Amino acid sequence: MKRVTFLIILFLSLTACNRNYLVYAQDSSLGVDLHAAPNEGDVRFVVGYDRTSFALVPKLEDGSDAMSMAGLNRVYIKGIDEIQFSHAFATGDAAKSLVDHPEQLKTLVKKVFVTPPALVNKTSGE
Amino acid sequence: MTIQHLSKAIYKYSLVLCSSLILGACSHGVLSLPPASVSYFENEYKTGAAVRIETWGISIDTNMDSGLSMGHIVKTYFYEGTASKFAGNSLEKIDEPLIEVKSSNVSDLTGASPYAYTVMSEGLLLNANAHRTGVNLGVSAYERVYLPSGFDGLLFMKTKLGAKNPGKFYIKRVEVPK
Repeated sequence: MKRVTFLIILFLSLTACNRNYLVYAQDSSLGVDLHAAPNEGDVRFVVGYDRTSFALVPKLEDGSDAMSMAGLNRVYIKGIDEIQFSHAFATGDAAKSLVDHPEQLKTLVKKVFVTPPALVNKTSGE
Repeated sequence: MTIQHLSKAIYKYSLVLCSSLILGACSHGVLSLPPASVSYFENEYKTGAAVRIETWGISIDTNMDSGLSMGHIVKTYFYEGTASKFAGNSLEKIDEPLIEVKSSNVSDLTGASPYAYTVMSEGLLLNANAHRTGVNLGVSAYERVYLPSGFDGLLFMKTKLGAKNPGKFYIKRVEVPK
């Protein structure tokens, strides 16, 4: 019993719980994967290739605004070892400003989508 | 093999593992054997910083993506820079060109909360944190972006997982005057 308690404490000591965040998540795996799937409320077991994306939004009281956000995401995947992410997230007044000023949104879209993915990090020898 | 035997074996190996790791090295919240390779980055405008941690072997991460790993793991944590907070509109200089983060001496990021992280793992990965709990054997790649509740600003990132340079990243956060 002591051993089990030790292992549980070791495992839980690595755990940090904080739900006061808006979280965007992107997972890819090749092999054997067993993990909790909070978006599905269950456990996920995969053998082979799997890819998932999800978001966790802070839960607030009824009627209150969780978070105003404008987000742009681009994921470029070629195999399992060539994964590139491009994100732009604007929240609060910045998100409202993007909605009111389409030219700003256009600039942001260009930054996220126009640069060919293959050029990202090319200058750094990748 | 009974559950009791299995539990005993895991217990013994955990003790050996913990002892070995204590004799290893800890840097940026990562305890590993052999020691991890840690690189710090910052962009020119000081609006974004990153820490790249590469480990081969056994490691325990106590940062936001806490867990235990065996094999080759590259984790990159992204932080706001010293000039990320300002009064005004975070979209004010949206036209300015994007710049990559560069090697820097920034090392006072321990304890700061990252806004995002990416992980590229080849081997065994055991995660135990609020947003990822489970086991992976093989190749795994994932990322998380965390925006604190009430965050008012802009986060931009363009990165390739596992790359030697974390890519382009910045945060502009409006600081509300008190």
